[in-house]
Amino acid sequence: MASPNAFLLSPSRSSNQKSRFFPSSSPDLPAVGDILSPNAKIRSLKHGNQALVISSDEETEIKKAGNKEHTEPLLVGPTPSVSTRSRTMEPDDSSLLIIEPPTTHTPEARRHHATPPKFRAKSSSPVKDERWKMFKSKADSPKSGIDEAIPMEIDMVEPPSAQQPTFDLSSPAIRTKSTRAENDINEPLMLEAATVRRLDWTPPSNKTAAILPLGSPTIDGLHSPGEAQEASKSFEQILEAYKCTMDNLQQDASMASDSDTSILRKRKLVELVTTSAAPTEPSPGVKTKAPVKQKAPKKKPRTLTEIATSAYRVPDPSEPAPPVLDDDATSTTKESDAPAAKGKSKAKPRKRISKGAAKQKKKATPPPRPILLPPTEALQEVARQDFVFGTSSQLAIENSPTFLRELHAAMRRSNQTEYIDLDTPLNSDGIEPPERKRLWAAAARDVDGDLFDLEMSRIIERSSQLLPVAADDDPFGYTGVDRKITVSAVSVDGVDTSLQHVSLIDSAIIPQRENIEPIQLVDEDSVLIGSDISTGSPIQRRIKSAANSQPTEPKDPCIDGDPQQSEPPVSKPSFELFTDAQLSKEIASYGFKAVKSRQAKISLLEQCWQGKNQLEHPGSKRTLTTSAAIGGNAANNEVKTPRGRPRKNSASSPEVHEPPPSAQAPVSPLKRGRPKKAASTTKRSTASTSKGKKVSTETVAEASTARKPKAAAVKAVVEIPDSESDSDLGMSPNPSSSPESGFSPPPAVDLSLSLMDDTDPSLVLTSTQDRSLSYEYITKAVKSAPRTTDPANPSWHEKMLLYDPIVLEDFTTWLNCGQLTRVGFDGEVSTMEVKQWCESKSICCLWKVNLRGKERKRY
Amino acid sequence: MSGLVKPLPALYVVYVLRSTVRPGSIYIGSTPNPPRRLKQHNGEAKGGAVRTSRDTLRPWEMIVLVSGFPSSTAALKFEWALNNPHLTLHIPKEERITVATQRKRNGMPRRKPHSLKSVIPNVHLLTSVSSFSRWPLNVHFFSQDAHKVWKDWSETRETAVATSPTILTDFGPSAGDASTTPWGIHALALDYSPMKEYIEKAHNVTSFERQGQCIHCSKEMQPEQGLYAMCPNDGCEAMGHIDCWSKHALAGDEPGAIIPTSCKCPACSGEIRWGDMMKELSLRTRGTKEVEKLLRKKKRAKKDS
Repeated sequence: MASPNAFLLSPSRSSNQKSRFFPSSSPDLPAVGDILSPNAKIRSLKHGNQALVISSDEETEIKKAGNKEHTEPLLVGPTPSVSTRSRTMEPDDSSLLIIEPPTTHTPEARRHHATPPKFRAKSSSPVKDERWKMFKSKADSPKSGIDEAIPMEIDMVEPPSAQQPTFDLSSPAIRTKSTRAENDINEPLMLEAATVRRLDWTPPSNKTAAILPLGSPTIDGLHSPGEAQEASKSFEQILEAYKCTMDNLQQDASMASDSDTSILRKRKLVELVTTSAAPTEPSPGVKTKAPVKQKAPKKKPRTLTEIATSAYRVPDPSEPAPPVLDDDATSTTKESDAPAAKGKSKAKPRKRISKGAAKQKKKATPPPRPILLPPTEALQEVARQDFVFGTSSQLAIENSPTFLRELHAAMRRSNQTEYIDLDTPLNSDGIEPPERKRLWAAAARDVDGDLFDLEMSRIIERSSQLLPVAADDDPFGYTGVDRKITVSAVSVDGVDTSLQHVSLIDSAIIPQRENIEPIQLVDEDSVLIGSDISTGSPIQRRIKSAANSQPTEPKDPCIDGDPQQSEPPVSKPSFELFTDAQLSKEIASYGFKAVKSRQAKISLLEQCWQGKNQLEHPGSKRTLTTSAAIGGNAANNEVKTPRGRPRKNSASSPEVHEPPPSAQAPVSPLKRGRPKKAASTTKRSTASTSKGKKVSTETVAEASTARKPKAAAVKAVVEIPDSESDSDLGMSPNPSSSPESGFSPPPAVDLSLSLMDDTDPSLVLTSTQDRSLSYEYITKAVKSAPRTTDPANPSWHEKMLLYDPIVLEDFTTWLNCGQLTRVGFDGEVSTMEVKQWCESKSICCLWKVNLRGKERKRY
Repeated sequence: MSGLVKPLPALYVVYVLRSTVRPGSIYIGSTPNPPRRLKQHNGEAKGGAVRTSRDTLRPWEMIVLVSGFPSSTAALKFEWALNNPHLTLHIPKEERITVATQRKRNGMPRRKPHSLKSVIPNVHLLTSVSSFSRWPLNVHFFSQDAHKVWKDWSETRETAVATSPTILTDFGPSAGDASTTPWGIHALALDYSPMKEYIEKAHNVTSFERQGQCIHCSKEMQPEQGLYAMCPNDGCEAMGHIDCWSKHALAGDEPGAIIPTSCKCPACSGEIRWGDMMKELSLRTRGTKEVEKLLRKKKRAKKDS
């Protein structure tokens, strides 16, 4: 028999046990006498011992099961849960409990004791039973208990011998077995207790850990019955598993001591994510930090904002998270540089003064109190900094920032020629030849996540000075509108590019900039494109300052002292004093079509003037990297309050005002992608970036979106772009298909329109006189159109008479393509007007796109 | 669009469904085939609306039905408006009956649950608003109480609109009457069969190119070169350009109107509903298949007899 082996092994095993578990279990073991005493007694003891959770458990376990090893894993786990179990068990029958554990554990015990193959064969089935029994409901357990009468007997015969050498635990086990034998008689009666069992297994993480290691060795044992040593080894492994659990136990205990641990944990997680600085921090480190954070607001950060800002609540000197990066979704690359940015964002003012080693600065500057800046300020702060970009090795080794700067400058100079080449084709695709500077420029991404062309934006900024002139040249009269629209759409880009500029261009020194300037392209195309994309943040800032702070205007040039800026700021003409003819002339000079209402003219002109003024000095702003002027602007920005939230339509407006094909050809990255998405992102971005920007975008939106329902005051202005878009349709060779020519996605505006189609009451608001006027003409145009000669292709009038659903876009196009002119109406109608006309006539009308944004298949 | 056109549907209705078990439960839907749809709602066929799937509410009955929609689009528009009387723009602000007082979680105004007292007035209102008033709509009542609500409501509205829908009532056989003749929605014709003679008449005229002159402008009507509508009245073969007809029909109407509602035939001086004439015309010009089917069936029937 294998019993000798067992003898040999068992002591070591027991010792192992002792060393590992006894700290928790053995000291609390009850006296042998207690164990032997009747159950009632033990129970009472238990009650008394409940405080000592582990010990009480041990008792019960020992009583229940002859084999401690198996029960122990249970015990080792979360003590509190076990204790509860023991308590709950009490009401149930002790006998049952006693019976069960043996059934589950005896076979394994045997195995662990290096039982001979004989028994294995027998025990194998029980083992299996036990395995599933662990997870089984109580209902099954009684049965199994009965089934295991045989294994029990085996236990009686053999294991005692094997277990005798074991010290404390073994002897009680033997006793218990004897008691158990007695209890076996009772066993069939008490069935319910298994539920309690179940509880045992459910709770803690430790358990699973304990179970799993157990499982594999048992299986091993089954498969290779002969080797006792292996078995012992496996047992040791099991014990090792327990060891880990011990650690866990301690941890648990410590955790339990902290009342707020769960919250803390969460916070830790959040912070770990945000701070890239300490990714490899060991858990103990975290622990040590935990107490510090305990003072943190007891409220759980529940909202995203809370979570995002939680880092700033407690001035934690060790890890100040960069406030700027939180909101800036687009600057992913920046995040990688988080440490650098962090250090500098705070140390920025000092930066200029002391240009020590970049690295040293990072470390040396005592982390200032983390202040949660509003996004505007934060972005501006970032914009004001000089970033030194480089690989970590570069930053570490080339420790002089000036050197790096010079390097950049040199690179820039060397790339100069390439820039020129690039400028002419103006591919804004990401496919463009990946030059080295691309890597640097990679940080600039536009709303769609496409690479934003640094050169492009720079050209724009440069060319924007030419724009006033260009606008006159622009045959399509879109520059004004487009320029503004794009500003709204790409405000994020503006931010990005501004960062880029500050980082790269500023590193290149100003004289160098002068070098660049001559490159300006007077190319008509490029200018057009420039107007499309003109989005430098300087411009944005400019808009802000110009729009709302007149007084600051004159100040700026003084501060700038920029030689390029020759024109003194023009005081805004009071358009109200203009005659109608003057106004229309002015509007024409901006390239707009004639506008009906005087109010609209004035507001349009004001916007134009603002836009023009803003665009006249963009370069100067750029050069001021860290001067006080911008700070002043920032202050101004803050004073401003947004007039409202950004409109949904504003973002989609670029779609409406598609420039004529000639200008469209070189597609800017902005135009790509699904319009709707872009809309949403822009909306978000504008919201997140700056209030001042919001204002600017809003004005743009108001000017551009005709369909925007509200704003009676703006209403007249609203018509302009719309008529433009309609004229757009008219001009395009294939008018009927213009909105969704080919595969281009349906214009977002139409979608939004169809969505709010029936529901937005403000759509009803239109000046009745205008309406009736245009209505008359529409009716006239419809009725006077010649009747068809092809029954399959009826005229619009006949369609209406036949109750056909009228596709508004097509019908509007038809009207605007000369039909209204034919009947003497000098103007154009919007689809909205046409829709209202249709509804006033009981004509069933619909949009070309359905609510899902797809073209209708059926009518 | 020209390739997608279909003739006016034989029947398209917007119905008001009411639970016979709990009369407070009301559902509004639209269908070209009310009996089939009712079966779906009652769970006898697949495809009922979830709203009507609760067993405790079944069976449902259609108490009110608005028929005569010139297209499915039209019916869906009307259905949506009737389902959202608090939102729809077809109802001018000053006339709106149902006003939302609460808002849903998504910010949209919340409508109070439908009730007979709210739905019927809204049907009345919607059939008279400018967006729908010129559609050839009929309102059917299959329930006395619904009809009563309608009558009461229209009495309170002194300003009965000139173009009010045709009101049809069918309350079914009296309780004692055990006749098996279908009534209510089951008596509705789902196809063009009621117009068979009209269709045949016009079909014959056009197939033999006997159009002749426009009854209005007296110009020659070239076959296959225009849309020529024919008087639906029995035995009258007055034909004319569709726009001539409309001009004639709109003669006494408000200026600026496009779609006529009804007129008198200059030849037989019979009343003509514009919708009927258009249905036939659209069927003739766009629904050759349907016409063939209808006429073939008739031939067979003749053979049988």
